[in-house]
Amino acid sequence: MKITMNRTDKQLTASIEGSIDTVTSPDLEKQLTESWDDITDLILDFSKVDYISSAGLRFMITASRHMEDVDGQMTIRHVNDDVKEVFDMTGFDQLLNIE
Amino acid sequence: MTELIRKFTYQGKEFLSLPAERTAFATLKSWLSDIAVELKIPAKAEKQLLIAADEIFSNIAGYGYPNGDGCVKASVEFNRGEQLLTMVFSDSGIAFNPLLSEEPDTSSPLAERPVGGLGIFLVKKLMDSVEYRRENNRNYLILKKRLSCGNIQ
Repeated sequence: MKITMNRTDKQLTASIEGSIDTVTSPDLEKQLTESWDDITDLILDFSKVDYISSAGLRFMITASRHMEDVDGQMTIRHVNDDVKEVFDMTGFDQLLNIE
Repeated sequence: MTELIRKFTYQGKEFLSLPAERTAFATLKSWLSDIAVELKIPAKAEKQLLIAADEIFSNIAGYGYPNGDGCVKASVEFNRGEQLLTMVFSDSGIAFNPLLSEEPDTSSPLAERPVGGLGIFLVKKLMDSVEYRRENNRNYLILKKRLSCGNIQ
Protein backbone atom coordinates (compact mmCIF):
# COMPACT_ATOMS: atom_id res chain seq x y z
CA MET A 1 0.00 0.00 0.00
CA LYS A 2 1.16 3.50 -0.82
CA ILE A 3 -0.24 6.72 0.63
CA THR A 4 0.25 10.13 -0.94
CA MET A 5 -0.76 13.08 1.21
CA ASN A 6 -1.53 16.63 0.26
CA ARG A 7 -2.22 19.27 2.83
CA THR A 8 -3.69 22.69 2.31
CA ASP A 9 -4.52 24.66 5.44
CA LYS A 10 -7.01 22.49 7.34
CA GLN A 11 -7.67 20.07 4.54
CA LEU A 12 -5.78 16.80 4.13
CA THR A 13 -6.19 14.61 1.08
CA ALA A 14 -4.78 11.10 1.35
CA SER A 15 -4.66 9.08 -1.86
CA ILE A 16 -4.38 5.40 -1.04
CA GLU A 17 -3.02 2.84 -3.47
CA GLY A 18 -3.30 -0.93 -2.99
CA SER A 19 -5.27 -2.95 -0.49
CA ILE A 20 -6.30 -1.84 2.99
CA ASP A 21 -5.94 -5.10 4.86
CA THR A 22 -4.68 -6.58 8.10
CA VAL A 23 -1.05 -5.90 7.13
CA THR A 24 -1.42 -2.42 5.67
CA SER A 25 -4.12 -0.77 7.79
CA PRO A 26 -1.84 -0.22 10.84
CA ASP A 27 0.41 1.67 8.44
CA LEU A 28 -2.45 3.77 7.15
CA GLU A 29 -3.55 4.47 10.71
CA LYS A 30 -0.06 5.53 11.77
CA GLN A 31 0.51 7.82 8.82
CA LEU A 32 -2.89 9.49 9.03
CA THR A 33 -2.99 9.97 12.79
CA GLU A 34 0.48 11.51 12.64
CA SER A 35 -0.68 13.96 9.99
CA TRP A 36 -4.18 14.99 11.00
CA ASP A 37 -3.46 17.48 13.81
CA ASP A 38 -5.50 20.65 13.11
CA ILE A 39 -7.17 18.98 10.13
CA THR A 40 -10.94 19.43 9.93
CA ASP A 41 -11.47 18.29 6.37
CA LEU A 42 -10.12 14.81 5.69
CA ILE A 43 -10.48 13.43 2.18
CA LEU A 44 -9.60 9.82 1.44
CA ASP A 45 -9.13 9.20 -2.25
CA PHE A 46 -9.96 5.55 -2.90
CA SER A 47 -9.54 5.59 -6.69
CA LYS A 48 -6.55 3.23 -6.47
CA VAL A 49 -7.78 1.11 -3.57
CA ASP A 50 -7.97 -2.51 -4.55
CA TYR A 51 -10.03 -3.86 -1.66
CA ILE A 52 -10.70 -3.23 2.01
CA SER A 53 -11.01 -5.84 4.75
CA SER A 54 -12.43 -5.41 8.27
CA ALA A 55 -9.11 -4.10 9.61
CA GLY A 56 -9.47 -1.19 7.21
CA LEU A 57 -13.17 -0.78 7.99
CA ARG A 58 -12.37 -0.52 11.68
CA PHE A 59 -9.95 2.29 10.99
CA MET A 60 -12.57 4.06 8.86
CA ILE A 61 -14.76 4.17 11.98
CA THR A 62 -11.89 5.46 14.11
CA ALA A 63 -11.00 8.14 11.58
CA SER A 64 -14.61 9.17 11.07
CA ARG A 65 -15.18 9.45 14.83
CA HIS A 66 -12.02 11.51 15.21
CA MET A 67 -13.19 13.96 12.56
CA GLU A 68 -16.57 14.23 14.30
CA ASP A 69 -14.79 14.90 17.60
CA VAL A 70 -12.96 17.87 16.11
CA ASP A 71 -16.14 19.14 14.40
CA GLY A 72 -14.63 18.30 11.07
CA GLN A 73 -15.62 15.93 8.30
CA MET A 74 -14.26 12.93 6.51
CA THR A 75 -15.10 12.17 2.89
CA ILE A 76 -14.24 9.05 0.91
CA ARG A 77 -14.00 9.64 -2.83
CA HIS A 78 -13.81 7.54 -5.98
CA VAL A 79 -14.77 4.18 -4.48
CA ASN A 80 -14.68 1.29 -6.96
CA ASP A 81 -17.58 -1.18 -7.25
CA ASP A 82 -15.90 -3.96 -5.25
CA VAL A 83 -15.07 -1.66 -2.34
CA LYS A 84 -18.55 -0.16 -2.55
CA GLU A 85 -20.03 -3.64 -2.25
CA VAL A 86 -18.15 -4.19 1.03
CA PHE A 87 -19.31 -0.79 2.34
CA ASP A 88 -22.90 -1.66 1.40
CA MET A 89 -22.78 -5.15 2.93
CA THR A 90 -21.57 -3.84 6.26
CA GLY A 91 -23.82 -0.79 6.37
CA PHE A 92 -20.79 1.49 6.14
CA ASP A 93 -22.42 3.25 3.19
CA GLN A 94 -24.82 4.72 5.76
CA LEU A 95 -22.09 5.58 8.29
CA LEU A 96 -19.51 7.19 6.09
CA ASN A 97 -19.63 10.13 3.79
CA ILE A 98 -18.93 8.46 0.46
CA GLU A 99 -18.90 10.51 -2.75
CA MET B 1 -6.93 -36.13 -18.79
CA THR B 2 -6.47 -33.38 -16.24
CA GLU B 3 -7.35 -34.32 -12.72
CA LEU B 4 -10.74 -33.24 -11.42
CA ILE B 5 -9.46 -31.81 -8.17
CA ARG B 6 -6.41 -29.64 -8.32
CA LYS B 7 -4.55 -29.29 -5.03
CA PHE B 8 -2.20 -26.35 -4.89
CA THR B 9 1.19 -26.75 -3.32
CA TYR B 10 3.48 -24.24 -1.71
CA GLN B 11 7.17 -24.93 -2.20
CA GLY B 12 6.37 -28.59 -2.73
CA LYS B 13 4.19 -28.94 0.36
CA GLU B 14 0.45 -29.57 0.44
CA PHE B 15 -0.09 -26.52 2.61
CA LEU B 16 1.37 -23.17 3.42
CA SER B 17 2.50 -22.96 7.03
CA LEU B 18 2.77 -19.48 8.51
CA PRO B 19 3.53 -17.93 11.87
CA ALA B 20 0.29 -16.68 13.45
CA GLU B 21 1.29 -13.04 13.10
CA ARG B 22 -0.67 -10.45 11.14
CA THR B 23 2.29 -9.48 8.96
CA ALA B 24 2.55 -13.06 7.66
CA PHE B 25 -0.68 -12.46 5.76
CA ALA B 26 1.48 -10.90 3.02
CA THR B 27 2.86 -14.36 2.15
CA LEU B 28 -0.61 -15.92 2.13
CA LYS B 29 -1.90 -13.08 -0.04
CA SER B 30 0.85 -13.52 -2.58
CA TRP B 31 0.27 -17.31 -2.75
CA LEU B 32 -3.47 -16.82 -3.24
CA SER B 33 -2.85 -14.19 -5.90
CA ASP B 34 -0.60 -16.61 -7.79
CA ILE B 35 -3.34 -19.25 -7.62
CA ALA B 36 -5.89 -16.70 -8.86
CA VAL B 37 -3.69 -15.96 -11.87
CA GLU B 38 -3.24 -19.65 -12.62
CA LEU B 39 -6.96 -20.36 -12.44
CA LYS B 40 -7.83 -17.12 -14.24
CA ILE B 41 -10.13 -16.15 -11.40
CA PRO B 42 -11.94 -12.87 -12.17
CA ALA B 43 -10.61 -9.86 -10.24
CA LYS B 44 -13.77 -9.45 -8.20
CA ALA B 45 -13.76 -13.05 -6.95
CA GLU B 46 -10.03 -12.84 -6.25
CA LYS B 47 -10.58 -9.81 -4.01
CA GLN B 48 -13.38 -11.62 -2.20
CA LEU B 49 -11.11 -14.60 -1.56
CA LEU B 50 -8.34 -12.32 -0.29
CA ILE B 51 -10.70 -10.52 2.06
CA ALA B 52 -12.03 -13.81 3.44
CA ALA B 53 -8.49 -15.17 3.90
CA ASP B 54 -7.44 -11.93 5.59
CA GLU B 55 -10.33 -12.15 8.06
CA ILE B 56 -9.75 -15.77 9.01
CA PHE B 57 -5.97 -15.42 9.23
CA SER B 58 -6.01 -12.19 11.24
CA ASN B 59 -8.58 -13.69 13.58
CA ILE B 60 -6.29 -16.63 14.38
CA ALA B 61 -3.25 -14.33 14.58
CA GLY B 62 -5.09 -12.02 16.97
CA TYR B 63 -6.83 -14.47 19.27
CA GLY B 64 -5.76 -18.05 18.58
CA TYR B 65 -2.58 -18.15 20.61
CA PRO B 66 -2.96 -15.94 23.68
CA ASN B 67 -0.11 -17.71 25.45
CA GLY B 68 2.58 -17.47 22.83
CA ASP B 69 3.61 -18.22 19.32
CA GLY B 70 1.72 -20.53 17.02
CA CYS B 71 1.21 -21.31 13.41
CA VAL B 72 -1.54 -21.36 10.81
CA LYS B 73 -1.76 -23.84 7.97
CA ALA B 74 -3.58 -22.97 4.77
CA SER B 75 -4.43 -25.25 1.88
CA VAL B 76 -6.26 -24.58 -1.36
CA GLU B 77 -7.91 -26.88 -3.85
CA PHE B 78 -10.06 -26.38 -6.89
CA ASN B 79 -12.69 -28.78 -8.11
CA ARG B 80 -12.93 -28.32 -11.87
CA GLY B 81 -16.20 -30.18 -12.26
CA GLU B 82 -18.02 -28.10 -9.68
CA GLN B 83 -15.92 -24.96 -10.32
CA LEU B 84 -15.54 -24.84 -6.57
CA LEU B 85 -12.54 -23.36 -4.78
CA THR B 86 -11.91 -24.55 -1.22
CA MET B 87 -9.58 -22.86 1.26
CA VAL B 88 -8.87 -24.62 4.55
CA PHE B 89 -7.28 -22.85 7.50
CA SER B 90 -6.18 -24.78 10.56
CA ASP B 91 -4.46 -23.96 13.82
CA SER B 92 -3.64 -25.62 17.11
CA GLY B 93 -4.66 -22.61 19.19
CA ILE B 94 -7.52 -22.32 21.65
CA ALA B 95 -10.74 -24.01 20.58
CA PHE B 96 -12.83 -21.32 18.98
CA ASN B 97 -15.68 -21.38 16.52
CA PRO B 98 -15.86 -17.87 15.06
CA LEU B 99 -19.07 -18.75 13.23
CA LEU B 100 -20.89 -18.70 16.55
CA SER B 101 -19.94 -15.09 17.24
CA GLU B 102 -22.77 -12.61 17.26
CA GLU B 103 -23.48 -10.83 14.01
CA PRO B 104 -22.81 -7.12 14.11
CA ASP B 105 -25.72 -4.72 13.83
CA THR B 106 -24.94 -3.19 10.46
CA SER B 107 -27.54 -0.48 10.91
CA SER B 108 -26.30 1.03 14.21
CA PRO B 109 -25.05 4.63 14.10
CA LEU B 110 -21.37 5.55 14.11
CA ALA B 111 -21.15 6.39 17.80
CA GLU B 112 -22.59 3.02 18.81
CA ARG B 113 -20.94 0.91 16.15
CA PRO B 114 -18.77 -1.77 17.76
CA VAL B 115 -15.42 -2.07 16.02
CA GLY B 116 -15.31 -5.87 16.12
CA GLY B 117 -17.38 -8.71 14.68
CA LEU B 118 -17.23 -7.47 11.12
CA GLY B 119 -14.63 -9.88 9.81
CA ILE B 120 -16.56 -13.12 10.17
CA PHE B 121 -19.71 -11.38 8.98
CA LEU B 122 -17.87 -10.44 5.77
CA VAL B 123 -16.54 -13.98 5.31
CA LYS B 124 -20.06 -15.40 5.51
CA LYS B 125 -21.29 -12.85 3.00
CA LEU B 126 -18.44 -13.29 0.52
CA MET B 127 -18.12 -17.09 0.54
CA ASP B 128 -20.72 -19.64 -0.53
CA SER B 129 -20.14 -21.75 2.54
CA VAL B 130 -18.09 -21.60 5.72
CA GLU B 131 -17.74 -24.52 8.06
CA TYR B 132 -15.96 -24.99 11.38
CA ARG B 133 -14.60 -28.25 12.72
CA ARG B 134 -12.59 -29.16 15.79
CA GLU B 135 -10.48 -32.27 15.22
CA ASN B 136 -7.40 -33.64 16.97
CA ASN B 137 -7.05 -30.49 19.03
CA ARG B 138 -7.05 -28.31 15.95
CA ASN B 139 -9.49 -25.70 14.65
CA TYR B 140 -10.44 -26.07 11.01
CA LEU B 141 -12.22 -23.45 8.95
CA ILE B 142 -13.34 -24.58 5.54
CA LEU B 143 -14.30 -21.86 3.10
CA LYS B 144 -15.85 -22.63 -0.27
CA LYS B 145 -16.57 -20.36 -3.18
CA ARG B 146 -18.12 -21.25 -6.49
CA LEU B 147 -16.39 -19.48 -9.34
CA SER B 148 -19.10 -19.09 -11.91
CA CYS B 149 -17.09 -18.10 -14.90
CA GLY B 150 -16.50 -19.71 -18.23
CA ASN B 151 -12.79 -19.19 -18.62
CA ILE B 152 -11.43 -21.51 -15.96
CA GLN B 153 -9.64 -24.39 -17.60
